[in-house]
Amino acid sequence: MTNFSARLPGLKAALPEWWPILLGLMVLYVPTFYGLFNGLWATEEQAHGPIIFTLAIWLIYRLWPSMMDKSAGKPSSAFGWVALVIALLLYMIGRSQQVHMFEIGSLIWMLAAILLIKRGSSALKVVWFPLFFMLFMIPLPGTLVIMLTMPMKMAVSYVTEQILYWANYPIARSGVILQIGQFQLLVADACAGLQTLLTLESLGLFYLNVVRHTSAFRNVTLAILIIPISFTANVIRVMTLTLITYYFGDKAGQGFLHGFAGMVLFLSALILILAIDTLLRYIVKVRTAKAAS
Amino acid sequence: MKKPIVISLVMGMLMVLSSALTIVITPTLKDPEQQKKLDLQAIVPVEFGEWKVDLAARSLMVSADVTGFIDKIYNQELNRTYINKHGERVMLAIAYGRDQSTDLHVHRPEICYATGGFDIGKMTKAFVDTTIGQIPVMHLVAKQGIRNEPITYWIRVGDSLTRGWFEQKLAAFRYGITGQIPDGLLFRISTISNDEKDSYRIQQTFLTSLLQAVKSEDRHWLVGQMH
Repeated sequence: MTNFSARLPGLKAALPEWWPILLGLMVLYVPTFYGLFNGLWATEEQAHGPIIFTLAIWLIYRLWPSMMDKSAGKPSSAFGWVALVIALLLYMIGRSQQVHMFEIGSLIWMLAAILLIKRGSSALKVVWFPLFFMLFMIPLPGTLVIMLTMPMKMAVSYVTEQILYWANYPIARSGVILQIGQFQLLVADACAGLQTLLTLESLGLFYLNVVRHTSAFRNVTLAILIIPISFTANVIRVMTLTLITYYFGDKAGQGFLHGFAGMVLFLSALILILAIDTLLRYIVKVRTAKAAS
Repeated sequence: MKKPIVISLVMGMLMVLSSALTIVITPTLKDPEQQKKLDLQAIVPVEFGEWKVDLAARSLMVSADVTGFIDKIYNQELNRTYINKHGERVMLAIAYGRDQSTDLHVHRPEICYATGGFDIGKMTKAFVDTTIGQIPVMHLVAKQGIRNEPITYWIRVGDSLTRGWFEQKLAAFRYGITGQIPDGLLFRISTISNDEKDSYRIQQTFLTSLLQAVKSEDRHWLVGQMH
């Protein structure tokens, strides 16, 4: 961290101007994050929250000097005060009524407001990605999760059934219950893959942002393809679990092999992403070669 | 003082003020001492009218992770199957939660049954006439394989009886803005039968004699104060 100690004198010089804002942020958000780490973020479904938060902070830290450079001497933006009011209202409603979406979402408005007021709109242009990235740490409202989870579970169960049936396994399905041999499996909420999708999508975007591919075609295509990739990986996981249960019994399916199936999920997602990325790179290369000739 | 510092001070002050205001408007539990007195097993009689608990009925097996989840959101539950002299069986489930703020609210049967692998058929809001008044309920039919299960339920939030997502949210929000966290209770009865009309008729007679049999001072736990 040589880079950090080089920045220290600059930090000291900035302190008189920034301490009231830092204090305000601490007063507002230390309780929020204390609650998150002891509640929502401690659960399996929201385990990606702290990862995204850490990555976003790291991205902001990395972009800070160039943001200060580019925004030096630029006028402050009046819209910042509007954003500040929105942030504070969201915070107050969200925190008092336990609407996590508002409470955590207010942080994004708040950071944008601070940048707009203190450094103007050019500052926001530099750090837009980390702020956008933070959207992924906002928990979706429970009702929306339930609405999305059910059809996704149905789809995963349906595809699993079709593929295994086609492979001549004795499988039948009623709703989200799979019957294979003498075993009955209930496709649980976690198997719907909504959280997997969000985690993969956010980490995919992070990867694309850090690597900075020049081809917009490749970036956008990969970001969109992560959706079917995560679905496929999920089907592979459910299929693995179904087959483990079929061959090794109920205990194996619920025991340590359940964790193994989770690894299968991420490995297959990773392999699929890398394969498609390689393919996209090849397509881009062919296209640029054609354009050149 | 330099202008940027003044701006920072104003922003910091606004933040601290908002934080203080948030603490003031955060709702607190409504009447926590009173709520500890509930004993569901005691207030719902095991025998009333022509109904009595069917000890032969096997209670449903619930997997361990579901049990953990249920223990987290409900402070008390009651699951019984009643039978009358015609051999008609009604399954009764009551779940009580002290804290109805968003995270821990009582879960609607249309969600629980769907998660448990049932297909949820038509859902209709209705009113059931009982001797203590009209009760707003939701009728829905859950289906799994050959098992067809017509259900009647309501969810009490504080003192209002709600059906479905919107009414439940609205009631909790109404309490929230007045600075209270209401308690809540799911009351659900169901029968396993292909004849839905007949099922709802049986459920109505069951409900009427049950509410009549519960002591009037205990009734508010099930249907709220207004009845």
